[in-house]
Amino acid sequence: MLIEEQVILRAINGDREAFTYIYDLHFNKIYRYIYVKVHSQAEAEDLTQDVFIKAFEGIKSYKWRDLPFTAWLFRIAHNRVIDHVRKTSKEKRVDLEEAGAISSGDPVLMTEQNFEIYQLKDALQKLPDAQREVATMRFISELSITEVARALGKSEGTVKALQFNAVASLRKLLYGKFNGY
Amino acid sequence: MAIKIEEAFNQCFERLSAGESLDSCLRDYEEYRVELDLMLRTAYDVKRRAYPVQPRPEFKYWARVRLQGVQDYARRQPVQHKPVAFDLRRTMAISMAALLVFVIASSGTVAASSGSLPDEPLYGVKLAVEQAQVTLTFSDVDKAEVYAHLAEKRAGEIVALASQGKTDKIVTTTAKMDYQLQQAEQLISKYEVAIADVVEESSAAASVTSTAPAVPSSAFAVPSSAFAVPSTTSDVPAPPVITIPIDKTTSTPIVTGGQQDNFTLPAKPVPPETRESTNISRAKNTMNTTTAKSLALLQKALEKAPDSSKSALEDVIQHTKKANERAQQQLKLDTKKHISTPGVKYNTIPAVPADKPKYIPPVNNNHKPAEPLPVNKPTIQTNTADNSSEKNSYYQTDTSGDRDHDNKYNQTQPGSNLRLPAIVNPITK
Repeated sequence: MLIEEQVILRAINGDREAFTYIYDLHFNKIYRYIYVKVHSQAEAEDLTQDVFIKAFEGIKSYKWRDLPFTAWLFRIAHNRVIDHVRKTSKEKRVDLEEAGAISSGDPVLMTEQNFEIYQLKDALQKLPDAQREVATMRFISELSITEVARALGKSEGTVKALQFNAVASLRKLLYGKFNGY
Repeated sequence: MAIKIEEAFNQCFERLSAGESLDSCLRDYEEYRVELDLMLRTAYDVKRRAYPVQPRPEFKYWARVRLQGVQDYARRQPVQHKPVAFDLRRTMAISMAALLVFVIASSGTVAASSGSLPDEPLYGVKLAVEQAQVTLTFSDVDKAEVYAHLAEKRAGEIVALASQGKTDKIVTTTAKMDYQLQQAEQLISKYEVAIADVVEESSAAASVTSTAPAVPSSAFAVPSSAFAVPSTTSDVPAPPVITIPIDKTTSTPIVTGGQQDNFTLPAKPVPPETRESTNISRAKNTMNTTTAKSLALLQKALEKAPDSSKSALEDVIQHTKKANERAQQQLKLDTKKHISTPGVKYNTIPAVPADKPKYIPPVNNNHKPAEPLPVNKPTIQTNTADNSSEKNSYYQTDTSGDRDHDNKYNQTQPGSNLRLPAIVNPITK
């Protein structure tokens, strides 16, 4: 049995430390995944917290054989984001002032980073849904191809094709049609 | 056979993530070299842009505290017996009993048997209907009431038997009445014990004073960065100290220190002891009333009974009085026993005097958590290289302020010999 599987088994049986370990392992990835899909930092924080509370509430019904844990967790995040976006669909916008990285102490660097994040969020919003999901999970949350495929319920071949197309689209959206660097 | 460009891109991306250089990877896919080069740079640029997106350390800290609060709350809840989804035997038994009652009731036999006496043929039907009534009553306290009413019926039968001079049946009917009173008393006692156990568990849980966050043991040591107090300690408020008040009238925990607005525990539900106490009182009252009625009925019958039945009736009255006294004493003893159980405040929970100040733990004014935060290194191994790199990046993401990797990215220039840094390990290089 894999160590991760053992940890999850302990969490299912109510081990608080095991769940805290899972929380620490996935928290940043889930936050980044949500952050690029919503409008503000506050929304991302609320939703991230909701995802882990829902995971805690539902972990007793989780079965390792059915789905890798990471994929299961990202499905919760995906559904939570969809619910949230449906409620706030009338406000499709990206606020530049909200597209902020954590403080690095250097205002020039911060401004550059914020602008780049703003551009990235804007470009991701223009992708088709399936490409956006794959690009977000693969390049921003750093999931493996297998995990992405299981989380989205698609084959690995399909995910690889979506990944390639998403990068091609992002290249045009971020740098224009001349592929400039 | 040449592979598809999607597959080549994915393989190159994985190899670059593992630390291989872009040039060495592109050499294996010369036919796609130009396009792969641009695509891989784009993918890494997306990763680079997204990397500074990190949760605020103080948010991550408080979110963990809140989650642990939810876990603690869930643990404190008394275990509730889930209703059996589908128990075939139980369902069959209930169905059969209901069918039996329906058939018997609809045939009119029940009506005829309701006034029957022990020496009559329909008396068996009467007892069967009574037994079905007991079976179809599920709560102990309700069953006790049913038994008390049945005992009253037996007393009525004894009176009727005495008036007819059938003393031989009086003894067996008295035995039935005695049994039914005993059952009522035992069921009430059993119910009181069950309720006292629930109250005891609730009291024990409520007396726990918790502080956040908990320190994990070494078996599941999490990285120091995960528990690290945010680097700007002056911005981080002290964690709240939660005191669950023992006063049952206050169901909301007292939170002192820290950001009280950010820390909320779900309100503790009102314990069900008031409703249960009412049920017990009602059952006891029924038992007392029916016994008193039975005794009055027997006393009245004694005055009018023929001489041949008087001695038997006197015995029944004496027996009933003794049985009643015994039951009353037993119930008082049970109640006293439950009240005196340490930690159990059964029906006698004292209210905290209004002038008595509640205990409020001292607030840590230096804006540091009340408990020292662990600095353990991670001990859990991962099974794949992919996970390892993931973990490395995770362990270092909380090292706020260290953003040298951004400078590394800014220094990278396009070129055929460019070795792209692995985004997941930028800080370690």
